[in-house]
Amino acid sequence: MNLHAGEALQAGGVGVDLREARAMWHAARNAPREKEIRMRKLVTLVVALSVVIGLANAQDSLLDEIQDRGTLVCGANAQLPGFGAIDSDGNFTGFDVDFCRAIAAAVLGDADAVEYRGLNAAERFTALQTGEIDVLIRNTTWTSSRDSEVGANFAPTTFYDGQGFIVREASGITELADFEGTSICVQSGTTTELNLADVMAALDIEFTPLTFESADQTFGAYEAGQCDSVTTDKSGLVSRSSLLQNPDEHVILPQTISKEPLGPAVLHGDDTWFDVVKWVTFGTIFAEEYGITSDNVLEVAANAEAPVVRRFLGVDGEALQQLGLESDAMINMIQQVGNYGEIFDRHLGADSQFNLDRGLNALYTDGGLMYAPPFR
Amino acid sequence: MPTDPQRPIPVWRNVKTLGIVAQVVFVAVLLAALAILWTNVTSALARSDLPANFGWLDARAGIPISERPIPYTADDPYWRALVIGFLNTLKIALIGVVLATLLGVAVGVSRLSGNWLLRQIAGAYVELLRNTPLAVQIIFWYTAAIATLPPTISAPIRLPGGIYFSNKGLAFPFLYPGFAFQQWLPWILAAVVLAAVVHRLRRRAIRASERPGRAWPATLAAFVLVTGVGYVVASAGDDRPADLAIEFTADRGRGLSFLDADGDGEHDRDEARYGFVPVTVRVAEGALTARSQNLVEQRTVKPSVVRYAVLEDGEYDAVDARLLDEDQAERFDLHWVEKPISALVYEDRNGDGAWQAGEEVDANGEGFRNVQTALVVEGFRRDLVSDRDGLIRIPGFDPVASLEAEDATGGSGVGSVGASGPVGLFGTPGDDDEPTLDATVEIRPSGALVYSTPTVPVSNYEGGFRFTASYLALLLALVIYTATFIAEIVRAGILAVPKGQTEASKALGLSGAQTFGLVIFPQAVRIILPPMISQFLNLTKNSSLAPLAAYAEIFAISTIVANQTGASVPVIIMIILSYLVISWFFALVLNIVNARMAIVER
Amino acid sequence: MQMIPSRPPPPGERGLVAWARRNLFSGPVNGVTSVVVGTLVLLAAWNLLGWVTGGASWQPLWNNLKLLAVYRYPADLLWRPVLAAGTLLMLTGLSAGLARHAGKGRIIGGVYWWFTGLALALTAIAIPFWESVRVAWVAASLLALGGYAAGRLAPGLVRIQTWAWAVGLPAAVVLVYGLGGDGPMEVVRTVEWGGFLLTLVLASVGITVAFPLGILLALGRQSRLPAIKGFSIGYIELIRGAPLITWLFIASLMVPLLLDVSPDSIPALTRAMVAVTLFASAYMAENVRGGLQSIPNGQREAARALGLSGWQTTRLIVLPQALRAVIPAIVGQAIGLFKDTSLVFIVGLFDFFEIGRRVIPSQPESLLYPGGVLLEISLFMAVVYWFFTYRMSIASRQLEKELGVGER
Repeated sequence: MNLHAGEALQAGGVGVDLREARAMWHAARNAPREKEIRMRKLVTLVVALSVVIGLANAQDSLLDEIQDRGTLVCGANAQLPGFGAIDSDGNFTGFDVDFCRAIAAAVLGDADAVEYRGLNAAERFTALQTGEIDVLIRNTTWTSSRDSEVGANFAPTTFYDGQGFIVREASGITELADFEGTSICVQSGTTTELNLADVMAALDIEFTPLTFESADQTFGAYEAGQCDSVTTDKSGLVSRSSLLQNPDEHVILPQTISKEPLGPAVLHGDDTWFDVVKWVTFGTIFAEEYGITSDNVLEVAANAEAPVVRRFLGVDGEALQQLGLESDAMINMIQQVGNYGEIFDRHLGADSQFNLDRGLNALYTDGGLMYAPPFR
Repeated sequence: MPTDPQRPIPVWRNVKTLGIVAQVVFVAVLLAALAILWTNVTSALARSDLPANFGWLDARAGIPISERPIPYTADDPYWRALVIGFLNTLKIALIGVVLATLLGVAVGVSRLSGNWLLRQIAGAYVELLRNTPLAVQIIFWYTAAIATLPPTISAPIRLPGGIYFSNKGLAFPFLYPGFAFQQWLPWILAAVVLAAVVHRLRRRAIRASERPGRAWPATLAAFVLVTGVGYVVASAGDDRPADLAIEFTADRGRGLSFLDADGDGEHDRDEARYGFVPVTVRVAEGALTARSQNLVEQRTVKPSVVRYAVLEDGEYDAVDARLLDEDQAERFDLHWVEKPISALVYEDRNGDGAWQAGEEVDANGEGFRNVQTALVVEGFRRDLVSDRDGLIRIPGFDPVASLEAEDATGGSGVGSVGASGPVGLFGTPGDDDEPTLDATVEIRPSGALVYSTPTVPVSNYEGGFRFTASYLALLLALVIYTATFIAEIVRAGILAVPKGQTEASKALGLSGAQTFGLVIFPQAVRIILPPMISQFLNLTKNSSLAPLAAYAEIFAISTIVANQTGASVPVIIMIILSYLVISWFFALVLNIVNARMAIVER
Repeated sequence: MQMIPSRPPPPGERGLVAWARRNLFSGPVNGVTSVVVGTLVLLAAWNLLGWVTGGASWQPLWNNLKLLAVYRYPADLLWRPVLAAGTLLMLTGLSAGLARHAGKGRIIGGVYWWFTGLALALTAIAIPFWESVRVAWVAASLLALGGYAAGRLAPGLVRIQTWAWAVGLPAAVVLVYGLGGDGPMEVVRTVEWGGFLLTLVLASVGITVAFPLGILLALGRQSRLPAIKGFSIGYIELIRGAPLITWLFIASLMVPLLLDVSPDSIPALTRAMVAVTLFASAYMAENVRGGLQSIPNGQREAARALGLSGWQTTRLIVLPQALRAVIPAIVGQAIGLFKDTSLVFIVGLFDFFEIGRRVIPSQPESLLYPGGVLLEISLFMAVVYWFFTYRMSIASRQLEKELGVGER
């Protein structure tokens, strides 16, 4: 790209002075032709520079690093009310966010020792791959390609979800075939987007996808009538639909077109850290199963007789030390954050504006899928 | 400090030697740095499982893209999705450049206008919009567009000439190649050649006559004449492909034009779709059902609205709307807002048999929701042109006989969430012995071109030519923003032409407009053009902000692909190469312009 | 198109009507234009005004002003950035006052009063509404006014002016970042930074660091040594070839690798700064090159004739003149960079734009307004960006005139 004598004319948008412009008029008249660019060099440079763009070096174990650092860096959602959002004081809050807090409480003894990164769907794995975040807890679906291609390791599922559709009740859409000729809003860079295309192709339904980069845009477009439906995880539909204008005008179709197990993810290749995230997550479920809550955890720790509970709370045995945690890790975690049931109720369930049913997310003893292996 | 030219310069003070040494050192350091980075990268890539090659390009993308200049389905591979991204970048850049130039020149000239008001407004426009980030402007225009325009499903703004405008975008009639298009092509070619010859001859004649004259009217006449005659001749025959067939599924309101190789009347996977086929669809009798709702539209709540599909005058013999539920029919009435597209449900409280303001809401000011209505349409007929992929669509009519059945089933399937988990994977299939719709499709003849008008069968534009709202908002923002810079360039360029030029041409007796058009502007163009071309490049690069307006250009699609495949490194290389190609193209244009200007210089 | 200003009016032709006839209705074309354009503008302005005062919902914006200004910066430490702003205004005021005393300083005075006016307005709002920063804003206003008064009243301060800046600027940085410990000066980590604060930090760091880099690159591009020249050209054209948003995207992946350290030890802010700086340096290089090219060869030849070495010629003769000539262009670039920082959302930073675009609209309270609040917020953001850039672009134009660029 050769520059011409008048380049400064537009540089950065400064007003152009008359005299300068006039000078350039003369310059343009007298300017000799400039030499041509040497493209070969440029190409070489492009290749050289492009090659250096790469991925993070693996570390020894993140666990040691996090304990040295004193904070946990957690990738969260900043715009899914109920799961992760920022309030006007700037604090992250939500169901997913509480698992960040739980891990921090277990690893560092302080649930507030978390640095949050608000990530969008497209950048979350990049952040994980580059090591910018220690753990990704951002309503992320566990899939095989994310294990293999993306290089993520998924801790146990914290929320069993499925993809659904929300439509205006008056639209008369009651089944998937009714989507013929309509438009559907979907967030780009998500499994939702891919599922939608797959299912509609399988059913031979012609529709127009409108893809958006953020959940706000997606629902905003739906509310403005740009599309007839939004598809995303049903948890997301519920949490958003309660915030739509006239929520009772919208219905969520009973059909579920995918399995969406959401859970924390860490990077491949660090088993020590993966184990910690995995067992802290199990710990919240375990605590609910054994009735250990943030209110009674100290009492239980002092009086419990069941060996399994004593091991879990670090009163007996080395189960927690073997994971690389302090013996009071679970006590801290439950005291500061609570068990699974408490977390759920606080952000999604009875104590929240969403009033979501436990459903599949109930303990296995109540007919759900939440099941923690023993601490031994 | 005079040096003795005879004395040899010591090696360590020889500028040449020093220069070579410096370069060797510089290159060595550079290479060492690159080598370190190289080892870092290779070891990191080796450790990770991520793809570092381009093998994934052939894998199935699965990304739905609605803005596609070339045919594309979610089954196509990644490379095709990326190509679409690149084409979309070009699509916004090329049109943006043209419009920004027009607007920029107009504003730039207005800033020098004798009209005080125009001058001030042009100045304010430049100062306001140049000093605000483009990203904010995109957000503003996009939000304003989707929030304040009516959606297609209700009543899009319908302009004369079959133009539709709504928060889905803009759709307008367009000419597409018809059956006889290939027969017409040779004529066009001939017309171009002939026009070139005429132009040459005419120019020579004008030069010989030594009188002022213009060559282009004759050229244009020659071109129009030949293409016109060609069009008539080519369109005369029936060039419809012998095996062209239409498959039409009435209950879906959807059809497909394709080449029926095996003659069974059904579209098989390997049979080619055939686009731009003009057809007429007729439905003897059909019903459109709709329920009333309190719509949130254009940032306000509209109570008790009923919306049917958009039908134009002359597309039906008769329409009749009625309430389906008996209880509701006793209590409510329908008031047409725009027959037969939208209506209000109201409660005739004062018994005058007509809607009065306030009767569409109850005593608490709440609208009436879920009042079930049906619009029975008799003798529906619509002239359509199938789209590039052969798709035809009409509104989703139900058989009138099914209205009673619908009454029986009552409300919709309202789902509760989370509680029960997955409810079947795709829901339950419909009943088989439902009444069917009486619909016919007939292929119309077409000449070398077909005239395709847009329609709104369900809630999307079909047919015609369409720009999405995302595209328009991004285009608007890019044009308005870039035009401020172009305006400044134009203004400075005009002012830079010495005043003597103006005075001289006035002295020669040229009018104001002539002075500007024949003397000042041609000279100013030389100063204006080079910086303007770098603005064109800026506009193109700025189109990478497209994700803010939900427009799928190369950057937006690339980030999605990188996210899905994990192949960040190859994707980044491709993004940069795409932009460099565009940059080099503009650099080439700039060099050509500079060269031509240099030749013109005396 | 009428371009030549009308002749001066004969004596007696004054007043509004005459003015209107001259400027708006000088001919039939002009008259129609005036009426049409005037009506359209009035209509647009009236609608906008009606919406701003009636239809728009400003409550979510008002509730989230802190988030927009500083994001998660601790509320009890908010006085620190406010005082930092006060310090900067004080320094500007001092310089403006001194310059005014010396009978100059139209440019810096204009900038000073523009931003001091903003500070005073914010103080007026803070006193009744923002309890946590009430005192800080009053103090900042006093600092700002005090600086100017000191400059006006004590011209002797001109001796310490440079020192004041040399101490004041780092002091402002320290105020924002902190010193350490747990007290009032505890360190506020950059991950807590955001909002307008971050926008300002990114733009100023970017332009400051890009300046020397740009000079080196520009000199490199003019170099006679092919390797260095080739590298400079390659770098400049590569960077300028692709948009900033892609470089930010790349930097978020690449910087940890380049420095070969643990990725999480480099905050997103640093990565964004690296990308912004490298990007700005390429454009800076082109600006400086414009300056270098504007220096007549005679200057170089004269310097060599006086016996200066090549490096001395560049350093003492060419560069000072070249840089002086490109100051307006650099200010222009700073404005551009200030606007471009709105793209750092791509590396996950919560700058002013990102908070307005995504964070506030996704708060549950914001969703309760029909159609959301993005329209209001984007309008507000536009006004804020405009407020800052507009004054700077005026200053840049004034500088251009004062420096007499193009008068050679």
